[in-house]
Amino acid sequence: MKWLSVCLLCLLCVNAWADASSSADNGPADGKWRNASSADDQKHLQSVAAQLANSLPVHGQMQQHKYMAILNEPLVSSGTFDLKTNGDLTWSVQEPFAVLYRIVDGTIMRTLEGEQTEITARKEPSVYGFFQIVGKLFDLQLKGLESFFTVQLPHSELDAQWQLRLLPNNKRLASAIAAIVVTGEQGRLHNVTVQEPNADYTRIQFQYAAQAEE
Amino acid sequence: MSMGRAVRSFQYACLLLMLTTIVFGVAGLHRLQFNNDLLALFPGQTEQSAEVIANRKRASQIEREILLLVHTSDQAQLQVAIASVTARLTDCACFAKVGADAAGLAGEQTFSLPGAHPALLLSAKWRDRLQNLSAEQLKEHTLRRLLMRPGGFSAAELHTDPLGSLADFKDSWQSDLGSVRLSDAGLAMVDIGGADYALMRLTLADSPYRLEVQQTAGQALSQAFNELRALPGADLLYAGAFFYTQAGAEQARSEISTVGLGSLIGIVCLFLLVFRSVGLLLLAFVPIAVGVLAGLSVVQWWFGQVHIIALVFGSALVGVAIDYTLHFYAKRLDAQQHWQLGSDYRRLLAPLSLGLLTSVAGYLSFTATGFPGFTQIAVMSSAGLVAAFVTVMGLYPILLRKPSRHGLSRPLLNLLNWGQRRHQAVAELFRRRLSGLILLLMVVLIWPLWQSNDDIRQMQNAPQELLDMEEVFRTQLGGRRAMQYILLEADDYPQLLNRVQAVDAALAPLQQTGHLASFAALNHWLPSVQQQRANQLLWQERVIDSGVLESVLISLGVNSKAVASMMASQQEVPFIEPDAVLVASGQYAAVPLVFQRDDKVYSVITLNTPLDTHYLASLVAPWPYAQWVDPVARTNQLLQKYRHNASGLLALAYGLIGVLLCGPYGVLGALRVIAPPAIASVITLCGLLVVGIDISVFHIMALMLVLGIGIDYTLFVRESGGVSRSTLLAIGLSTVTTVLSFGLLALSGTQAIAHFGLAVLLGIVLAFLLAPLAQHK
Repeated sequence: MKWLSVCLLCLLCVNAWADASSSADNGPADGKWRNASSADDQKHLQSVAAQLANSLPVHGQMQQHKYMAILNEPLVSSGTFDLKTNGDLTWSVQEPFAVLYRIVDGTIMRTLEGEQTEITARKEPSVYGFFQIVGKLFDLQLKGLESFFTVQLPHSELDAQWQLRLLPNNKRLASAIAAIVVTGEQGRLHNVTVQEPNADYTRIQFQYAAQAEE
Repeated sequence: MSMGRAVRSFQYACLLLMLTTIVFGVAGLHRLQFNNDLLALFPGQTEQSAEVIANRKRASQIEREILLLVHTSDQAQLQVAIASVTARLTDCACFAKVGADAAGLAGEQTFSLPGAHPALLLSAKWRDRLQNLSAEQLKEHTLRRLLMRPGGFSAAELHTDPLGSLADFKDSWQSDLGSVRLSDAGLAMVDIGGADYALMRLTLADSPYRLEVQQTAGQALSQAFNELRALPGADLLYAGAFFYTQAGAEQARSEISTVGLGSLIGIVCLFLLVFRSVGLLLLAFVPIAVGVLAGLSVVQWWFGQVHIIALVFGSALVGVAIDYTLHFYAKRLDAQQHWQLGSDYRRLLAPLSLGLLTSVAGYLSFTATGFPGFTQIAVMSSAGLVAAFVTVMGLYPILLRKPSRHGLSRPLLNLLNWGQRRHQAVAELFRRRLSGLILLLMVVLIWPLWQSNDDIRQMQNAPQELLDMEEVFRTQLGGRRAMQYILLEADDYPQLLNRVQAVDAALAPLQQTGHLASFAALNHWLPSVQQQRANQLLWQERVIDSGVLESVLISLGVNSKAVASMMASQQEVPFIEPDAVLVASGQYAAVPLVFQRDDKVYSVITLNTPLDTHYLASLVAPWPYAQWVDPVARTNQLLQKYRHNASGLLALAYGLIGVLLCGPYGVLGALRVIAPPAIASVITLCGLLVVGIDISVFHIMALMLVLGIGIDYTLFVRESGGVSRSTLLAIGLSTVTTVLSFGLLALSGTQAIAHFGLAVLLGIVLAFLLAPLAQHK
């Protein structure tokens, strides 16, 4: 039986995110990154994770840019997000098509034109995989992420900003994702960029509402 | 004390045969090969019909899988424990695959289909969609699908599956995932009643029916279970055929050891109480030992190997040879100082020889049941009985030449005298015509209650705990595969796919009418070339010629070069030829079974419950190339056939023995000799029916044993001219030892074994009570 392979596929198919990278869309060179293996690095990551976790709940605007070699212009979509302290997430895409995703207790539900559908790893692996990773990035669940990725830190960081890069640690995941670069500032996640093995990449930017911290 | 020349020659011949048996038996011991595959006990193992092949292949796919669900209140410890258990189980050669993460759970490779193209592979849903949606609706649907997804889509996906129709077709390649999801640590998790359970999937390296697999995998799993159960707040659920076979084997072991120990203690106590000699007790086991040795040698020579169950049951039946010893000892004990080897030996020879002949005839009739295991049991028992007989007749006259030092003890003497009177009284009661009429009336009144039971499930006694856990897996993971299936035959693979397609078209609507939950057919993996052609025409018309695809690409902003490349990839798509794909499909467990036999090819359509078996069977009947296969019903039919055959053989055995006995005793005398076991059998059947037990093949087998042993009783009564003290002692002891050996099986937790034991218990006790009827007036 191969039905459970879809659990992995859900991650494999987090498709077509490209690393726009934080520096002019070119992505930092490998020489700028080191594995976060030292005690200091772990301490730093835990500090970032604590800041992110302390910032919850958060909500605001998100905008996704999809850059593909075959496209004349990037595809843009936008909407809002809302993340609770217990991990429940609302992801509302408003443009170009309105669709609402709610993740409650690990169950993903999509509402489209009033009709609700449960998203499973089998039915829609890419959507399932997307929320598996995004949910872990918002509060930097290191243990969960390290199961699939090698976490790297830049050799040098700007004062207030933090960055980290995730490299897939298995071949199957690496065939769909080259790297994920995450940037933020203090307790806020600002950019997530996913680079595919080819030149295509996806960038998602988050803007937080002033009243987010309730 | 002198023996006649002929008798002495017979004794020496027996002695020589015994020594030869011992020499050849011991010399051949190192060549013995034991087969412990329980499936080899059942018929059809040597047949190679398509149905047998399909059954075997399906069973091997299903029976080797083991699923575990583990819950703990400490997720961090769970991850460590799962890793440790995975490593431990992987180390055991008894497991082919062990998985707890997504990749491990996936097990085998994902099915790959070279040449897969959306124009060729359309699901029924997408064919319907292409036929009914307008070009504008189709474009809107496609754009929405691509643009509303967080994370978007890849260039490769847009190129290979622009509408998402291919993904939908491939969706049927996956079994239902149910509520399985990935944990933070990458473990596959299932939510049961609000609690998280980690799912592990194991595949045995060999059949769970093999005893060494049960042993090694059982040990490995036991250690793993201990480790998992030690987790805080642990809850462990498991499912798989392995656990049922393990529980069955464990129960059998427990019952055999309990019954065996009880029987041994009882027999030893009896011997010591009656014969008061440890030497005689040990000597009593010599014929049985020689019998087992001879039985093993003959079975090894005849069949090339000895089945372990034949060894166990055959040895038990050879144990009936203790009766020969009992007759010899009883005669000697009763004679005391009057023991004259020559005359007493001659008196024993006729009934023992006739008893051997009838017992061997009875056991050999087991071969007609058609069970290969029973054939071995019959051959081993018969050879063993002959060897035991020659040991008694060859060795005992040498060792027991002198009279017994002890006579019958006073209490035993009193008991035997009382027993003789009671025994005669019972016989007199049955001799009356009124008794015959009452018996006849009883049969007439009770016969309408006749109910037979040929359900194979009476051989199973699955623990409720396993059934409950199985139900959890069934509801959580959607494992609802029915035992029944449809087997299709064709001359070649293209024809096979066409036929599967035709049956698929008839089955698909039944999912809406409630006759069938769902099903998996080969064309869900690969449509026939005709269907591929039809799909391609539809695709060309509704996606390419209508301009939908090009319009979608332009709306997305795909550059002209890429549009040209993608449109070009839609031209002249070659059909996927089935031969190579289907030959290779055997390596993918999820693909419906496909196999070749002689010059025909076959495929199985698997069905999921609930389903209306009668409706489906009648639906399939008109197709000459399709066969409705219901393995449980087929096995039940087989058991019914064996019951009929065994009943006929039982009647035949009575007739044959009756004819054999007409020579020495005349017609009336022969009838008197066979009447006691026959009446005992009829009363046993009536008794079982009155208490509501349905008659099965196992009862008939028990009645064969009643005939085999019961006829010994009547022969001795007949030969001794009545129920003498020594005869009563011998057949009384024989009845007690038989009840201890077989009657205790009535306490078994498995219905079939319990019924066998109950029938032997009733039949033998009645045959003993009625034995004086054989007495010549």
